[in-house]
Amino acid sequence: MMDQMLTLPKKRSSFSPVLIELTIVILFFALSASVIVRLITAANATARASEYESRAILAMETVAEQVKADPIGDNTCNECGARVFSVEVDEDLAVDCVVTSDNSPLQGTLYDIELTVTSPQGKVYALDAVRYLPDAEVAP
Amino acid sequence: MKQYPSRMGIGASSILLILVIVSLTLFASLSLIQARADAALTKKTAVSTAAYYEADTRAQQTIALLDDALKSGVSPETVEGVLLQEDQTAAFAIEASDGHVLRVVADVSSGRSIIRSYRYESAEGWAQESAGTLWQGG
Repeated sequence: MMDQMLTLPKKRSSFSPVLIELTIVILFFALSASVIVRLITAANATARASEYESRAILAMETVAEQVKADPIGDNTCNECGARVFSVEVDEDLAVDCVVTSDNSPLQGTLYDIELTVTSPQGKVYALDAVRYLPDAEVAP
Repeated sequence: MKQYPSRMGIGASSILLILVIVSLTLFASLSLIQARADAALTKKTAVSTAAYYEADTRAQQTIALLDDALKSGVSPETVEGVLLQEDQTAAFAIEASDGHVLRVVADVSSGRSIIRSYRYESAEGWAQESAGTLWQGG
């Protein structure tokens, strides 16, 4: 009876193994999540940039073909003899176009088409194209 | 106060964590790989587009020179790269920087060039692969 009274009560540990494991798991998850979020952010930025570039290329090709099909257009030239206009494809995408004509060929005109795709941040792409239009093909 | 025994044993949260982290890493890596592949494809498209318009520019200038030669009464073959064929057509090919070639055939019999063919095609010849024996049915 006396022995039972003298033994100290069993002290319980304040940190159970499950609690310690949960703490480690949460810390590791936070660390991993930060790395994964960075990966996803990088993937998102790359995808947005390439999507924008794809749209820019498509817009540039479309305008180039339109201008090549009809390089004279409304024939409104500035004082330098160049036809300058801009096609707004989207809010963040515009194609600037400069068409200059070269009358040196004997049987036609060589139209030099300079295209520049611009975004609010600046120039994205530039493209030079040429269209030779024989005099016989020019509408009267 | 009655204490209920914990239903979650040691290791369960670690297994769950491993599964979640592996899945998230897999999806994030896949999306990054896909985005990079898309970006590489876009760059290739840009290079290809630039190469096409460069070849097209040279072809248009050659056609203008061809017309000039015809107007001046000079043989079309004086224009660099132009070959006069038996059927009164002039042909020339412009090599693009991306492995394509722009082949142009123009009719020059009327004193000016009239484009008959304007083909942008791969410079490499088509090689047939041996497909083996195909089942012909029956």
